[in-house]
Amino acid sequence: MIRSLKNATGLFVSLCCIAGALCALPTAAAAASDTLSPAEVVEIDRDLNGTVIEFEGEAIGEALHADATHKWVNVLGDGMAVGVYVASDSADLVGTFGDHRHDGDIVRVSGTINVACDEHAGEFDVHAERFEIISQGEVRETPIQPWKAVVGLLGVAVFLVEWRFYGRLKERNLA
Amino acid sequence: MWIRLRLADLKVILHFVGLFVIGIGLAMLVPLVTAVVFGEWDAALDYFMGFGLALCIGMGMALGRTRGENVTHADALVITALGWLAASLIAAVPLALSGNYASYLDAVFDAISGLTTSGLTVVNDLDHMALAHNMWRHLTHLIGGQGIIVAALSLAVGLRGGAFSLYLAEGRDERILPNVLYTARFIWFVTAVYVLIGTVVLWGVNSLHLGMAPDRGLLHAFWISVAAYDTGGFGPQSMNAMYYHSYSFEIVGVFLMLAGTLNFNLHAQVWRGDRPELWRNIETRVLGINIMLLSALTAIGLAATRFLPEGFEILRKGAYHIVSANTGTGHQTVYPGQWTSDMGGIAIVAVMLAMAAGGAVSSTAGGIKALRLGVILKSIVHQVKQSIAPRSAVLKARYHHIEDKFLTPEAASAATTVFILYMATFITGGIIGAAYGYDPVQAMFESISATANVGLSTGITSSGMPVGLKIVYMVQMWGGRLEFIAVLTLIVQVLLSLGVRRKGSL
Repeated sequence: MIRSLKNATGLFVSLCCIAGALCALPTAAAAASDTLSPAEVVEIDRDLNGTVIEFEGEAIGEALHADATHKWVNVLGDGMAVGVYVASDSADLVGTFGDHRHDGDIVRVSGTINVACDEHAGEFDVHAERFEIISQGEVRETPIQPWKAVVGLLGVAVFLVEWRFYGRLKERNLA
Repeated sequence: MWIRLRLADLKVILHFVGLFVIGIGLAMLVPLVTAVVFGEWDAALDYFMGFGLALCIGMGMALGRTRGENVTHADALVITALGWLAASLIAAVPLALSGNYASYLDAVFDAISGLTTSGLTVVNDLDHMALAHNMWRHLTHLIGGQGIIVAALSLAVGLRGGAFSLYLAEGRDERILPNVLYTARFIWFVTAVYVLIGTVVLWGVNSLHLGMAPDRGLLHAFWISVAAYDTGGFGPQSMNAMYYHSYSFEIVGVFLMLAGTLNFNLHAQVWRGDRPELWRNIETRVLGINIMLLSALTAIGLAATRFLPEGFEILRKGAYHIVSANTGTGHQTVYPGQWTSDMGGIAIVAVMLAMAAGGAVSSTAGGIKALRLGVILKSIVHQVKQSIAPRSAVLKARYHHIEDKFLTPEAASAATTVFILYMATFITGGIIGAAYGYDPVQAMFESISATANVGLSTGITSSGMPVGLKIVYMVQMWGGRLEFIAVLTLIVQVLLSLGVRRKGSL
């Protein structure tokens, strides 16, 4: 009797665990999909204006001074960038900004989206409440292709020959 | 009577087009040096290859003419049309090698857009583009804004015999100084002064106010000054003017855009001390009224949509984009998609009208042009007056443009012809865009932006748009910059050489 009760309890706990795991799966997926890209932020449903959103992207260019306590960090993803108004301390955490030679730090921003920010002259921006570095930036490979130098040299060489030929033609015509 | 080009004409045309190609090759030394200074060796090779190819191809074309034959007016038109096309094709070479363009066609699109000071772009990953490539993109604005022929003239590169015909063929209506070479040099002098002022002020804004590193701050200041003064519209970052989040930046930009859209002849008058010319001139009056009315219309539109919360913000956003559109610049502080999602119908219509109207003749701006609009309006008023006046009355209409002028039927007819050509091109491009499945309003917006060499976009222009539409916009930018006549002359000459003309039919 006790054994069967134990078995039943064990079965119940197991079922609860499985059910819990099944319930947790879509929740985790939903949490992942809640993190947007900057391009999705720009095209966000306008009903979400003024709400807190979360998105990830690459910090590009440089941090620009906004006021005494805040900076602008422009965050890029899927070909579009969004201006993030962030406390200077947090902005200073960005070690690498994206440019020709670097992939910038990937940052996760949680903040209020403003389709037309009344604090910043109607700009589309996000006021960060949480700003964290997810991964460090790195140096981009910019391979040098010597064949371009060869073609360039050939072009210059042909030009010099043509120029000399042109000079002779002109001389002949003048004569 | 249609005059077919002879072989000798073709040699002359090829010679001059070759010279322009060589000129573009020499201009590539600037980004080449930029690449070397900043250690961008990959980009340096792109420009070295472009330089070599431009010199070799250009000299090959120039070989045809060695005798110094004069350039006829018809030759000048064909040289101009072909010269701009050839310059774009060769300017696209280093861009195509950059890895930021999906194809050579896309690179040509940006080269045409840069040279015609349009500012529409199909670049990918602009935020990771090399400084040298950004230098080249903005340099195309500088070369094209003043004009490839003006650039060649100011250096006096073998353009004797037909210099004035070439100057006129490039869409410039007026000679500022008695000598066309001095006129070309004056245009460059004015440009140098404004770009220098803009660069110094924006460098200060970038370095002191925004905290950019001095070297990046200087480069950005120069590029933005060139793009604003030459009414181009390119920016070094994908966010365009939004990247800087700065009111000071917008003010300097507006000053440069307005300076760039004024007639070089007017600049000369003001510099000679004739300041009243600024408000007596029909062009500045039309421009001023247009900008004020359309800014007010935009503000009404923005207020109606409640997109922006406060009056000052409405005015700032509205006026900035109307100035950007009316001057043909194309810098924007909204995302392309926001034109349709947030700005509302009235604001879009106002911006389209501003883009179509354009700046002054003999300026860096595109569009129908304020002088033509003024002349057409004067002509309409004159016709109405004449219709209600007694039959025996002789009425004369006058307007002031540098000097007092009588409105002649020829002037009204010329202005109306160009107006009709622009309108026809706007509508044709809009219909083609709509036929590709785009929203008709967006298609019309983009068509006007391309033809009037503005560069504002609702998002249609991108590397992913259909190839056919890219070609249509390229033709619109090219035709619009040269005000159609040169391009139409080239097309007619090509048709004639293909034997399209039947005896007596044309």
